[in-house]
Amino acid sequence: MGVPETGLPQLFAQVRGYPAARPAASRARIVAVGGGKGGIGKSLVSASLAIELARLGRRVALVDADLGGANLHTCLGLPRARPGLGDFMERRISRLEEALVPSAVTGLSLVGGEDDPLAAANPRHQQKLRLLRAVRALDQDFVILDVGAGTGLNVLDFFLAADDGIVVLVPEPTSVENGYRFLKAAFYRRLRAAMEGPALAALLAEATRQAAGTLLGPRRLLSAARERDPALAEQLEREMRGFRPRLVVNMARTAGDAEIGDAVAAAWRAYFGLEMDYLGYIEFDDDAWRTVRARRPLLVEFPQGRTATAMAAIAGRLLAIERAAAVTAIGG
Amino acid sequence: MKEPAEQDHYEVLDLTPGCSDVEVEAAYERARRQLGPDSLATYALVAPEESRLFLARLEEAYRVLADPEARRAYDLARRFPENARQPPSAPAALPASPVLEPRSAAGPPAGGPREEPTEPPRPVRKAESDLPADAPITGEVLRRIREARGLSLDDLAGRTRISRRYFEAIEQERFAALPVTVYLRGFLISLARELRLDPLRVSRGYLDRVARGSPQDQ
Repeated sequence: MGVPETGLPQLFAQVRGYPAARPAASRARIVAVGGGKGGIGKSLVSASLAIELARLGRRVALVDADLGGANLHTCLGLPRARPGLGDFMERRISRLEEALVPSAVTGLSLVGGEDDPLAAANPRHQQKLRLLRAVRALDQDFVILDVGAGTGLNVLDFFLAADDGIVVLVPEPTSVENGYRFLKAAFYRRLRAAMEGPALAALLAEATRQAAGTLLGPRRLLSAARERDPALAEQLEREMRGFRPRLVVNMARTAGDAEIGDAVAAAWRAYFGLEMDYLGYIEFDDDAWRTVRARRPLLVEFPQGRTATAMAAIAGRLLAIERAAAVTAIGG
Repeated sequence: MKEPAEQDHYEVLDLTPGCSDVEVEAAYERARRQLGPDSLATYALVAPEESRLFLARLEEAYRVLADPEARRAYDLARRFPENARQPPSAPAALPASPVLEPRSAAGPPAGGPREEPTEPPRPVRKAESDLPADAPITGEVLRRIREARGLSLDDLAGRTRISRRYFEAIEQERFAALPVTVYLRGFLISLARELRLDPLRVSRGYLDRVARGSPQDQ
């Protein structure tokens, strides 16, 4: 709605240099944090990951892209500052850098969100494009985007424009359900963006009809494509390989909860034929809500706490993926 | 990347062909735990029918790979697919499809000379009180057993969540109305479970019949 589908390939192409990969080292790596459901700790995961990466000596910008639900400043214990993301989108400031506010953590700064939900919750396509380009151009090692809840097009586009799209789940059916819904929506959005043209549209329509209205799994879609159009199938397969979300399980309370991340990645692969990188889980941490209530960053308040330990492992896996991607970019 | 039904037994269990028996057991246990209907990880991921098909494939893969004799025959067929493409009725043939259960209730295992299994064979789990060992698997036979069990087509559809029209087409042997083999096999396995018949015998027997093309279909 509102967003012309035709602009999408250009959007992703301009933002991430797609399909020609640029050397990963020369620009900020964008990490988006989403997951469909509200209240699962996306903001806390975003803030904690940003703090952890900054502690490791990286320059990190935390960007509150939760349009209409901005609260990262609270997670970092900062007052709401202007200008913020909304000011950039409404062109009240010309450069995103002007909205960067330093935090108490060395190397970490914040771009606060937009307070006025009506102004920024539904950015026009050009605004979104300009924002993503500006984010990409920030002189940082990492940009962490908290994309907020839901499966709206803006949320999906921010998620898809990132180098690492992290989905946060908590071990509850509602969260798992919303998480899968989010992932499926993101996957099909990516397909539509990357494979414009009547061939894919016809395939999707036909596939949907065959499946009697249910969403056809990517594996079946690929089989159908192979039968009718090998070139389309090849492209589809490439897009499927390229869609590789990361997963963080938050608020794990039992040993079984800790296993859910591996299980989700296994199920996603078994049923959909798509890969997912499980980064790790964060135990349920009573200190989490206490520190939010006190408006102090959890990782700063409890640098040796359970969440801090978990975050170190998660950041470690993310950095390993980054290194692997850099090697591939150079080697390939 | 393949559909689950196109994957071989090793791929279904996320194993490599040279893996040990211990790895097979562990992979099966893990898959049951992670991918089964009780796993939170499969909640709202796919339609129940899809999940049932996948799990049927998983069971089939495990049954073959956990059985040294069946696994040996399966590996052979995998390596020499051209031999396996002979008609399934030929005594020495190994089916090309992943359905291969030499110790099914259909009788002694087909095939050439083979070593004695190193482990005692697993018992056949499904009893077949109403189906003589030499009876062909036809739509008519399946209908009679269903009726003997007091099940209607709607009962079957309700219990398996597979559309009634497929069961109808299976019984009436209207092969043109049936889905492609990979899905049909899943339906037959579900049907056999409901009828308390050996799923592999039913699926293999019926698929053979479909492959030959029965008179009703002409």
